[in-house]
Amino acid sequence: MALPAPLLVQLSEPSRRIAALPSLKVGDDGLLRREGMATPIVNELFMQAIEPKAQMLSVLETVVTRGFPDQPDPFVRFGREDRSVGPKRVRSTAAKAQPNNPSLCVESARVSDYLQTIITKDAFDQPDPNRSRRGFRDGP
Amino acid sequence: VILIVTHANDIGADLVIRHLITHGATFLRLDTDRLGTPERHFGFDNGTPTLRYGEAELRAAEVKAVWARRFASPVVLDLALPEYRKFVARELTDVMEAFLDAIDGPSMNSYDADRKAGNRLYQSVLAQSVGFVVPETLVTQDAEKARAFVRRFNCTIAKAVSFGLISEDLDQVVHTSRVGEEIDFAGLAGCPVLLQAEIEKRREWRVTTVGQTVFAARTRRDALIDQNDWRRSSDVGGMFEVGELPREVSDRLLTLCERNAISFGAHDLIETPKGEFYFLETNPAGQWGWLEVELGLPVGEAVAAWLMSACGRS
Repeated sequence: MALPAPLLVQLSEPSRRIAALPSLKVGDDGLLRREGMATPIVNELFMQAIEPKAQMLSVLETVVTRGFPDQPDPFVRFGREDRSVGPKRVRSTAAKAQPNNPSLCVESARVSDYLQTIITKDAFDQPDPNRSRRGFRDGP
Repeated sequence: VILIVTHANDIGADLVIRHLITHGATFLRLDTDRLGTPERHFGFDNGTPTLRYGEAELRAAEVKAVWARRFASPVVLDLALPEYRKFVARELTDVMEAFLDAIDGPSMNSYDADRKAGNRLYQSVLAQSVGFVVPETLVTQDAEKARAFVRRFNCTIAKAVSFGLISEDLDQVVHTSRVGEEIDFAGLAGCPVLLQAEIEKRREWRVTTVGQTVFAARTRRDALIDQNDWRRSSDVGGMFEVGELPREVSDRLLTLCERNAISFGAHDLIETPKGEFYFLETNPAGQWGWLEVELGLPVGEAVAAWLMSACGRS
């Protein structure tokens, strides 16, 4: 059963539309230029009445959109891991189970599996296997 | 070398780079979306973290200062088979972090400082400790508690604890929004909400700090501004003007940055009709480019100067 949508979803709205940037290319000097233009786009920004100024400015604003969330570092690292947990998969250690008490041994084996340094979907030999604190996010 | 970590669509980086060029500083623009290829990648050679970036070959030790402006997903990940993508991303991440962590020089801002300073809850506590007033706040998953909080104040607002992008697929965002008792609190079953007492505003301030320099902008009295979140306004670019922040408020912000170990911050404040200043949040790598272009605030020049000075210090 799925949980209800987060409360904030009731207050959400469509992302603000921002016109796509013109195709940009990084020059040898490290500055971006529009396709076929010699003048860096940053210089164009300070000129008046250039056509794509509004688009360029929107990139520099602190609005919340899909492309440019107002976050300190919205794309910190490359992406989140999927934290969904599937059905438990444990390695069978039945062969080592005590023959006299099979059910106890199966439980013990399951617990033991999670204490080992195995690499499976559910058990990682890592402090932060799902990289929820550190990990690349989607973007830009 | 000054390392500028950004991506190939980030015009904001150019506002700094143009000053580095003018001053003849040695820098490398590292577009993270272009990483992960034989031509552009991080490596680790017998104990030495390395970076090959086109013609440039760098060891971490050669980097004297870093501007960690933006990280983006490498385009190359889209070319990996979907089932291997996360593994590849993780491998790329760790090699990159080995390089970035090995840099001795100052960073604007370090990853760890960014993460901590960017947490709205942690920063509100810290802001109070340096003398700021913050709106009364409740973060909870307890529906009863949330309802009681909303009832207690005439006006309550809700906003995201992290940031307002709800879903990439649905393309929905949430701004700071007014919330009343009629709202359905069932959603708290699996996700907390941040509720705040709404503060009456005379003006809102966006203050950018670079090192010890403070650049203050405030909303114009005559501008058409969304009452709950100025980011929702139609003309974000035209609604600010340069303002002079009271000295004690500037000092508090600088102390806050010092305690957060960040040398750059974009801070949101509210000025009440009585002239009190409420602290709302700090964005440790927030946007400022539009304020430079529209109002002439020389933030880019200050960032460049900080990086060049940091280069000399390390």
